[in-house]
Amino acid sequence: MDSFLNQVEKLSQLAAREKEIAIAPLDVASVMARVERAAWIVPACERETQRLMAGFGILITAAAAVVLFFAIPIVNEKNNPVWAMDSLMDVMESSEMLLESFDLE
Amino acid sequence: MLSADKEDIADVRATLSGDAEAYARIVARHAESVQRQMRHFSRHEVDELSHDVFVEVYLSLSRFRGDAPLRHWIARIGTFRGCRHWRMQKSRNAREKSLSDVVIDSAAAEPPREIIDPKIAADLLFELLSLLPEADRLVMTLMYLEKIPQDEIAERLGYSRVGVAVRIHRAKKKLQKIGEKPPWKGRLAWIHS
Repeated sequence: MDSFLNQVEKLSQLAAREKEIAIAPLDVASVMARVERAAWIVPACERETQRLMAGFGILITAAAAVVLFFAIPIVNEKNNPVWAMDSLMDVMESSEMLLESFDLE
Repeated sequence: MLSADKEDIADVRATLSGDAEAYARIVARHAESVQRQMRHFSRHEVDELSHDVFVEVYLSLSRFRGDAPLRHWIARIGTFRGCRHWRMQKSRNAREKSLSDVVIDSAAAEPPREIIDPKIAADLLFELLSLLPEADRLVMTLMYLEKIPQDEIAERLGYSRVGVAVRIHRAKKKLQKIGEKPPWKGRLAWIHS
């Protein structure tokens, strides 16, 4: 008994003889008709895709610009030492008020 | 360079300069080899796949450099188109109808080798290889059905020679395992040396 792989190898030798069997010829005219359609459709699709991508690019850039327009002043303000000092004073005042409330009790 | 290769290069140039007749000549020259190649990727949609290959070849013709014969370039495009077909089939979960009921019945008397129809043998091999993962199936299809040497497989798929050898070794192990279980166990027992 041959091993399965040997049997597969022999099967492939049998299958190779399929090349000797004639096949129905391909209809060249119908291939050319499809090629002509594709030659028109594919570049048109590519152009549309590029336009769509450009549109998305503009949209994303505009969104990023809006975010930056609002975000930059906030970040700048928070990095500002005056803003930090004000915040610290607020915290201290709150603490003092809290302590005073304890004293009153 | 063969005269057909020279004709191909002349027709590619003519096609790129807008001569549709030149491309029709290329199609006519390579139609049979493309059809035979596509039979290794699908048993039922050969003409459809062949059309796709020629469309893809046409659309990428401007990238053909001419340093290798056009038939090799077409075969490479055909290989990738065939692979895409397998992937699409898998994603549709619509595998081709199992041929197990139309091919040789293993329980039947062993048919003499000389009357075995090569088409039936190819169908059977196609069915067996379809059980392998895609990368293994591709390498084994090129080796068993297209009868391409390992060096050429490596070149066509962009693998290293060692990579192809390793892939074949692993695929054979998987085939061996498939052959140990039903329904393939004993199914090829009618094949004799």
